[in-house]
Amino acid sequence: MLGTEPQVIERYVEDGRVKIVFWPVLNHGNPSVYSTLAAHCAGAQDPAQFWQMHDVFFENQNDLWSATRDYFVQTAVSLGLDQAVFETCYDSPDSLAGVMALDSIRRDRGIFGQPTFDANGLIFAGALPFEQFAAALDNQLAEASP
Amino acid sequence: MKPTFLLVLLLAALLLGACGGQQITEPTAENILPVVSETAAPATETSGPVPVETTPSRPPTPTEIPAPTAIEENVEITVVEPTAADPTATVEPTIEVIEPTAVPIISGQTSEGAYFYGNPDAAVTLLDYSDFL
Repeated sequence: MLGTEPQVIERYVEDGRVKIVFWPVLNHGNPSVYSTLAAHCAGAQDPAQFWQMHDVFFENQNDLWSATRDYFVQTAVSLGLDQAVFETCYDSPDSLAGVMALDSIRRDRGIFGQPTFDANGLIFAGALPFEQFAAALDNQLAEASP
Repeated sequence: MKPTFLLVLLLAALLLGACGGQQITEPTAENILPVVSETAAPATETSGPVPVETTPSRPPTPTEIPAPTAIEENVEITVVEPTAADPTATVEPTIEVIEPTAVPIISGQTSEGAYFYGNPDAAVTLLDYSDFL
């Protein structure tokens, strides 16, 4: 969603009408699992840092296929995170279980393709242009208004 | 005859002294008798101090009325009528300051552990099922 995300944030999120939830879809094996784990460990130190690492990963998507533990640690350090705390989180089985649990919930909801979007129950799939995002969000906002 | 002559001479000198010694003086403030006007108050019989007539004081100079100050234009004067219940009550203007509503835009976690960005109480939640790859 990175392509249209800034426009969605500017028009719908910054005025408080919409909030975005990033829900992991671990469809590509270990690279998917550990990049998501690294982002969650960044968020464990500061939720805003999850979104910082989220942006870094989308902007350097090709690196993730071969990313190692050191790559994620260095990325965390470059964002100003505490290295020791990050490593403890990254190595924790509980952290990994948390990420896997989210992916399990996703499957239980019948979401298998990515990206898939759910706006208050209105589900649409694919990297849609912003205009279609806007139409869907406007429709759901109209329904949500009293 | 000599004593008679001397007597006549003495009488003549007296007559000359009596007639020729009167001096005509110019009128001055001291020798002019005061003129009593008809409107003057009658003299009282008491022998108290003579009242000193004072000249009436000069009427006060009328103070200058200050020129009206310039009235600002575009000033609206509102006359507030007293209420019937309390005619002396003054109506205080009520100034209501409307603060812009602050919407918290934050990063956080849902109850399941997913990360969100925006107003936690937003009307619409956009779930982004995605992968970094």
